[in-house]
Amino acid sequence: MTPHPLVLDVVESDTSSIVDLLIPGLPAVVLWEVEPGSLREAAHQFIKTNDRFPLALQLVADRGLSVRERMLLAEFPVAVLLKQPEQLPKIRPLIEGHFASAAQPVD
Amino acid sequence: MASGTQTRPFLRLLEASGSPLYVIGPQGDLVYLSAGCADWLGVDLNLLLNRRCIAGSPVSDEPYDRLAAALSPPTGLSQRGTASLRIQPPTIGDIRPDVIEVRFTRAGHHDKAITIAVGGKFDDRVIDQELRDAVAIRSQLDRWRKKHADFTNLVTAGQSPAVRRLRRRLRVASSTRTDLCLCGPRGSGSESIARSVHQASSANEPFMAVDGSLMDPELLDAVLAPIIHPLTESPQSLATTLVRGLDEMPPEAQRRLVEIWQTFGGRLRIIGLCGTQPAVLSGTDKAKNELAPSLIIDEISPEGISVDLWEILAALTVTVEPLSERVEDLPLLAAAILDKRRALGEGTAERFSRAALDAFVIYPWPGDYQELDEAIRHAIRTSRSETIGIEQLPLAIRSYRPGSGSVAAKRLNISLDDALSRFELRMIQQALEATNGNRAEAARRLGISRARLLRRIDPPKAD
Repeated sequence: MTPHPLVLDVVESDTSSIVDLLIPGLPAVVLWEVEPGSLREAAHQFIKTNDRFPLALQLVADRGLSVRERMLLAEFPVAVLLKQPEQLPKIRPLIEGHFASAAQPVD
Repeated sequence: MASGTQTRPFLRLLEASGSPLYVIGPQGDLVYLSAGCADWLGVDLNLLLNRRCIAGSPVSDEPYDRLAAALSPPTGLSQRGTASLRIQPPTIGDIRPDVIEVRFTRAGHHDKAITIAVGGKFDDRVIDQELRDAVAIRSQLDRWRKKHADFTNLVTAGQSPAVRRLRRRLRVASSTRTDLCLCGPRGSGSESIARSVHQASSANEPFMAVDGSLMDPELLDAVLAPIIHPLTESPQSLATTLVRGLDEMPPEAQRRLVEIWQTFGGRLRIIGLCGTQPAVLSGTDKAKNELAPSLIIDEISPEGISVDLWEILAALTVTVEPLSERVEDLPLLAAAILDKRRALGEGTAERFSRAALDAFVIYPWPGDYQELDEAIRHAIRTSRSETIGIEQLPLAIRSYRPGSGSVAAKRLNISLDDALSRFELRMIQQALEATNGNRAEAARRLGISRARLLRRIDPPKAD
């Protein structure tokens, strides 16, 4: 159900150049790596990315966040918090569904 | 009583340090001032000795009394034992003392307690990095919440009956912590409204937004884990989840959501967002009649809210009317959005022309509030003057004609005779093509006379 091209590009990037990779109006998935020290910057990036690219689905790979910090992040525009890479297959339907629904015309 | 060491070496070092230090006795009088105080205050220190140095006590007009009173510690020092204060001593003559930070420490107990005050710069009040980060994250969160609150304020502005009804219902929803269903078209800002309601009713609760249409039971568990965890840890914990597209959520995921809700009773609050007229998925007739009398019941539709979930959410349902139902609010909404954008420094446009406002009222706004917002942003970007004209609006809006949508509907109202004559004509044309224009042969193939065929393809003039 992914739009053309059918194979998605997976690009590694640092925080500052994420905005250069995203295209307004096109669906994308951003997987952020967040550790306790980078929480402040991450929160800023979630809001900024959501403002400029509302079709970007934002996921977080949690690198040792406390429960309190995870709960705090849950309120930001973050779709899923992942604790282990093994959880990635579980969110496959989410990513496929995101591309499928974003490809629909606005009614 | 044991005695301490000699004070002379200490006093010598203190005088050499040049630091302002003074001592307030048990009665609140100044009993000692170091040489540093003379440099700071620029007065003869002996004139300050034994003057009252208590915050809030009556002060005479005498300059030295006022100066001594200015050196007093903040109230509450006796309870806290230590305090800091930036002191600005009053000017005496031409001397204007600097403002410095003074740290007060109380030593001793009860009626023998003295206060030692040291002036200088203190770095121990600088907050550590972790705390600084926490404050920064908090401010980001506040900004994020405020953005939604601002959006809600704009969406719910207006005087139409629909929006007045919406505001009243939202007031009820905000005053109580209950499961809630918000029905509104796409782009109507129902998510922002839901977040505002959550903030108003239970601001400190953990909150998690999920996309209903993208969920399956396992994924739902994984996504909700951060807010479910505290619920299992402590029976006092509360949490709220906002489910976008609740009526598009797969039935299995809805069942799982109901299970989770039942596990924690009312501690997990569900705020659901769904389309304007959500269907309740096949339950018993009794359930249909009793639980959702006002909803469209559609057993065939795969999309909708399960009866169990609807039972949870039916307590409070708020409908966000589409913009097309709030035509009288449109000029006000447009002006409010323009004001907000101008306040943010976008463009110089200040008002809309009459024609532009008319176009807003005529257009049906399929993308609802979000489309209106985007249209105004577009207009602001393209406008070069203070007034936004119709030519600055997006093409879809400025070229919209009210009748254009109903042309197809009009064609459907055509009479049977017209439809038959069209069909007849098409058959004749096909027959003529098949016979290379031989009219006699075409008439024969159609089983009609040549004269009738000729009448059809070349009808006689009305006159």
